[in-house]
Amino acid sequence: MRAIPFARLLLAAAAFAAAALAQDPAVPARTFAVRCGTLLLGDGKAPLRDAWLVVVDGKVRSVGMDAPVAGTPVVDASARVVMPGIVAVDSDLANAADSDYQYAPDALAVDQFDFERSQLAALQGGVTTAYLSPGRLRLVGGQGAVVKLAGSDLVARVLDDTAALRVNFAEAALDAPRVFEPTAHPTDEDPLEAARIQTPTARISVLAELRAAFAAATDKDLRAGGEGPAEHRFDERPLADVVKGALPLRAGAFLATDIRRALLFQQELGVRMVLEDPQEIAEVVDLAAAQKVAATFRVPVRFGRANPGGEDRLDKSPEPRADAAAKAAAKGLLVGLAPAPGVPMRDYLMAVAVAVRHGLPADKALRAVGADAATILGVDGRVGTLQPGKDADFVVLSGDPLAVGTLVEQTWVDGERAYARKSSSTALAIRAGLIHDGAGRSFRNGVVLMQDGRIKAVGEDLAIPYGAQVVDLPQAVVTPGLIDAFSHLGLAGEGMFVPPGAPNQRVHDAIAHDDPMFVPALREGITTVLVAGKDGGPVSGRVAAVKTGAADHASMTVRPIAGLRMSHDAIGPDAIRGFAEQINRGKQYVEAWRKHEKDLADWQAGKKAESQPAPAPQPTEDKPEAAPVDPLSGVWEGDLDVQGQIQLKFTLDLKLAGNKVEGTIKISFGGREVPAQPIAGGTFEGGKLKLEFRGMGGSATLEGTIKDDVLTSKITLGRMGDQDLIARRISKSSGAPAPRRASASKPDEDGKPKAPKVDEGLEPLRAAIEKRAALVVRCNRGAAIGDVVELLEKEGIPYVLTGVEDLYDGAAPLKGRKPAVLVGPETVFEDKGELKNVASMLADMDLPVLFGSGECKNAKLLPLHAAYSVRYGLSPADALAGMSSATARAFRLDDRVGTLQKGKDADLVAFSGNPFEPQSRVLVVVCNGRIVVDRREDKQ
Amino acid sequence: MNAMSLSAPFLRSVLRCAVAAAIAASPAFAQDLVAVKASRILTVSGPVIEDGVVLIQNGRITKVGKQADVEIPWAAKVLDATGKTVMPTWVLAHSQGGMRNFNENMQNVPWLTVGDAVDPASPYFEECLRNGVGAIHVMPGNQTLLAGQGMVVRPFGRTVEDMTIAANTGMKMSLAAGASGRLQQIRKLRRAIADVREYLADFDRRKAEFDKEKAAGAIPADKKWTEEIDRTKKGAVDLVQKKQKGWLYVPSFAEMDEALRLAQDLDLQVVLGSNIDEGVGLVKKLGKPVVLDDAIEYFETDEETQKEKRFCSAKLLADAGVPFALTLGQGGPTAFPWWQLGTCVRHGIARDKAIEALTMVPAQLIGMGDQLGSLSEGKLGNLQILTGDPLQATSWVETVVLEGQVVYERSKDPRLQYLFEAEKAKASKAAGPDKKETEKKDGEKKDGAEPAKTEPAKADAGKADGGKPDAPKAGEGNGREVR
Repeated sequence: MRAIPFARLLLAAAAFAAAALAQDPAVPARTFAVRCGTLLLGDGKAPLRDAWLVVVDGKVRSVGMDAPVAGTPVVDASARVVMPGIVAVDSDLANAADSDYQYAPDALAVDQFDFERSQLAALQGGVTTAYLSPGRLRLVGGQGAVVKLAGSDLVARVLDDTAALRVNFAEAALDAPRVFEPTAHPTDEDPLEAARIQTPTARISVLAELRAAFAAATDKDLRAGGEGPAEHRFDERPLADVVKGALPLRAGAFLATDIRRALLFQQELGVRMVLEDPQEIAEVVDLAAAQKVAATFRVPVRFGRANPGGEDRLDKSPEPRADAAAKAAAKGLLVGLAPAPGVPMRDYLMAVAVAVRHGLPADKALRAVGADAATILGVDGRVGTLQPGKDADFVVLSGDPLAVGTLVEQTWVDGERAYARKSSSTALAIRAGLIHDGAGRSFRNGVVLMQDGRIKAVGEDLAIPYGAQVVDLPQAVVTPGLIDAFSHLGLAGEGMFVPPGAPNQRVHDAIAHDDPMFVPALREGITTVLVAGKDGGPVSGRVAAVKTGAADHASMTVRPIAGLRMSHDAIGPDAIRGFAEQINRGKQYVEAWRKHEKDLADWQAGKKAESQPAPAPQPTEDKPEAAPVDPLSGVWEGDLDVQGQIQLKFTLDLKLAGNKVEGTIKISFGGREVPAQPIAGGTFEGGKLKLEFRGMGGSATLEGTIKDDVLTSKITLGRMGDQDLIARRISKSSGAPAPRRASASKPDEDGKPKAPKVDEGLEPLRAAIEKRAALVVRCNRGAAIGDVVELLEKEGIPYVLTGVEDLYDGAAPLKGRKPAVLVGPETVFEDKGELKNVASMLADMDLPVLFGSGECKNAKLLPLHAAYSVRYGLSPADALAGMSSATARAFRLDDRVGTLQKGKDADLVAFSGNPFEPQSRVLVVVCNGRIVVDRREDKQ
Repeated sequence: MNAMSLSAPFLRSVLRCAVAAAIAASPAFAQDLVAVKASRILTVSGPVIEDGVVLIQNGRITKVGKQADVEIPWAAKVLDATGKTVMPTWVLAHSQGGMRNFNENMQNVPWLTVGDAVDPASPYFEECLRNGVGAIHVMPGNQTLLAGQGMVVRPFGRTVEDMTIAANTGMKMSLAAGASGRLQQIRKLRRAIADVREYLADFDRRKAEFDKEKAAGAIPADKKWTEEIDRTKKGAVDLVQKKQKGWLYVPSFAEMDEALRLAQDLDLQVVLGSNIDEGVGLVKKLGKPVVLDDAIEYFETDEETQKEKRFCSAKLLADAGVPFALTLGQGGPTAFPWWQLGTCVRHGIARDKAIEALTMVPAQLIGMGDQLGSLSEGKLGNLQILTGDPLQATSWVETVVLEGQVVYERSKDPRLQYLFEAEKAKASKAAGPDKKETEKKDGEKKDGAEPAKTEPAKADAGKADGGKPDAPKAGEGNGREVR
């Protein structure tokens, strides 16, 4: 039978290659076997485990446990779930337009489908076969088609170009536009007529209209020539085919009343009918079941996007029923599922899962996109299940098809891979029985989620994102990667001496990221070490913080300067002076840099002002340069901690003129410098300071009192609200001279201030003074300890004490201050027949105790040293802190390491049990997000 | 070569007759003996001739050759194009220019013809001459189903009849979906063609019955079958009977499927829009040359990478081995031949092939391969004199000769004169008082009320071709005033 309008298949049958998929030669095609971890056949039955799917020439040859013949290429999906390609029982992929006419049975959805265009979203969702709907508005809207969504052979991709005739029982069929059919040359016999109304315009006439149309179509003898060639009976032929049973009906019906009418029509004609999205089917489901109609549902939930009418309580549109599919399936109707219009096909399985949430059994739900969907579309001989003989259309999923994090990894159509997800995820998830985050929280059966070398989340019951590498350690205890607070690791090899330290050593440059000495330490969970050379002299060595498990040198260095090792043990009047002079040298150096930064900022501001047409005139400064020392002028520094989350550093450069205050304020945070802002207005009267300036996204004010170079103030910072700020005057000379004069003093080509010379020997001190590092001061005698603590507290320089023998007798020299103390490896001494645990004693004084191995080769023993201390009374929490969070805090590394918190470096250790049990061993070590040690398989 | 080899299947004898008739009926063009001397002659069909001459007698080329070889008859009017380039005028195989309303609001109007819409006074034709276009196949617009007949015109003449080279050159059809979508457009076109077939079948059946009854004696033997094909259906009937070409506009690759299907039963000439990259294979399957609309360069965003890609439809077709004809737009850069050809060359199409795509190929596609498209003996004497290479933006069309008659001279182009006078005025204002020339010109301005018309040639010659004296003075007197 020749039927021109339906002649798509008559089109030249040669393979059409323009849209051919770029096939990777490494990917087998047409004939191969898939090793499936889990294999769902699409029939809703229990899945097969560790099964083979054998494909020969694009068709399924066999499924089951039988291995393929030797030499067959294998696609490995042994850790994956394989299911049949999804059969989309409804779609808008053709984007078919409606005719103006109520009757357009010859409109073919396939005509508007772009075979040449990539159906990427659908393939990403695992959809391999789809029903293309014609326009959905008119009474007889046209014919749908069933096509494959990938493949180079255009003809073979059409499974059925005339799959069903769509008839509309719903509201929209009543709203057809008027049609105007002007006569080109009107005559008396053929006059010009007004636009014609198209019936039905009310529900009462829908059935009558359809009955008449179908009767008229079947009355005519279509075989006879009639008035012209028979194949041109565009309007009648499809209707006649329906009556003959050659073409099923798809009935659009939403409300129960429309569904009832559709069912009545089905009964009258006795034809095969599929109800399209009958949301109110629950009310007539018995009738529908008795008439054995099938139904397709669009799961009426549009996740992740606004739902139409959802925001409007007065919206009168009928409410979709999310449980309609479940109700229909419960009565034995054949059910097909598709996502709601507007939901991309890539979320097909999520829509199916939502239907399950609303009561559809999971097996039925999977059949609704597999076997049952294919039956509804009449293509069950080709697709829908993975039975032998059917097309090799299948999907490789990352997990359970209905789980939220499961994504399609590969989609195969006719034995050719049509889509493969690019694995771009660097995510790593460690699941463990117990997680100590090092900041005081513990999680049972928790997950540490890491991405791109940083921690993304820590918690219990976290959803693991698609593509993440998952390491399951149900018995393990996870702690932050351990930090050795003092070691020589990396500075000397086997049989070599550790070099003496010096402040100008660029320690991190001397260390290779793959130093073999790192390996033993790393295997014991030490991921960060504070490295310095051998001590000697009052200012001995620079301390660098490096990772032991870094992939390259750049990611090895946490801080080039994490500290400076010093010592001071002289006692007597003014004994501290030598030590203080060292500090002062550092301060002068810092001051030079500060001044330069300021000059630079002023110069830049001046440049900017020059380029602007009319800068506000600067207040003239005619005062002599050597301004009298007043209680305000100078540079003030203060730290502000906003709810423990944001650390701000304030630098105020103030100058008193009468009772007016001028100058700049600089707020820096997270190591970032914000350019200094001029103070908009300020007064200083009777010891009370008031400043107004702009900062933190709004105007800010500062009000406070000054006493003895200490500013106690309240600061109101835009949306951060009121905060208490204590600032100290660090310099009495204001660094706020007029910009022009500053540049005149040190001219460059264009007046740019010259930078001071970098003094590597003073850089560590500068880092400490700028609170980027800590001084590690060795002192044993009580008075010396007292002097050092006094001085460094006054200067506000971070420091760590070590040695501290006299502290064993009491904390008196500290005068209530709580400096961190570095101990180890020996912490337990025998003293007059008693065992003294130094670490425990210091911890009891409320001092943070930091553990350092002081070793090179044996740095790996650090955890055992700590365990020994725990054996004799140190609390395990303090011991862990002493190798993680407390050390990180003391050395100002806590933005990177020390705890398992969001945003920190992904460094962790998984122990087989309690980290301080000598029997426990390290299972897995992660450094910078990479698993660098995996000893799960080790037999010990 | 390539284009030549295509000629046979596309020459419609019907059209040829029409052309011959049209030419015979235009005596204004059948006159005189003209010789064009040029430093460089691009014949298109043959090699480039340096220092050549083209002889045109009675509107047809009689001789093309070296000046040394060809004797110029003493009676010939000589156009001296020394230092310039002579080449055939361009041929546009498909254009919607020069019409008032290029589509009827109704879609199915096969009885219409563009002859009723062409406006000889349209600036479009003037622009065509300025760009060296010598023949235009005017077709109804693209928003249609069966839109009516096209015609081939020359861009010169006071009435449509004067301009006509060939009439009834084919039925315009279109797959461009308006608001109704591609599916409905396809469906409507199928039904429109089926309606014609049905009418024809009915007509034939009635005629057969008449003959049968006449043979049986039921109808007197002297009674003749008088019914003719309905005039509103005649063009469409010719189309389905393959007596006439259908010119089918295919907006993108997505409609190529349907075009292939229609091509099974009709004699189709496809006019391609942009966005054809996915469907070049389908175009190739057509097995015929296609006409490209003027937007040959287009951009697409790759769905996967979100990167914008640039395509040239001409290059895609050239790579696939599909011969094509270029067309020019109306306004915008694509209106200039040098832009279109330059775009092709920039995308890697051979220069000769690009030039053929705007001369020989379109000439063959409109059935006039033996009349137009190259400077060879026997063809119409259509040529243009350019100041330089046709692919250069700085080249100007100096003179256009159609069938031996000078129909355009740049020195007399009123619009260019107007434009360059304005430029000159601006230049003289901007120049300082120390420039002698400017002073002199200023003086002139003060003297004469109409300084512009006296020296137009100098004004623009200085701008365009480096101050060469205006050559084709010889053509004067052969202008419009003759007619």
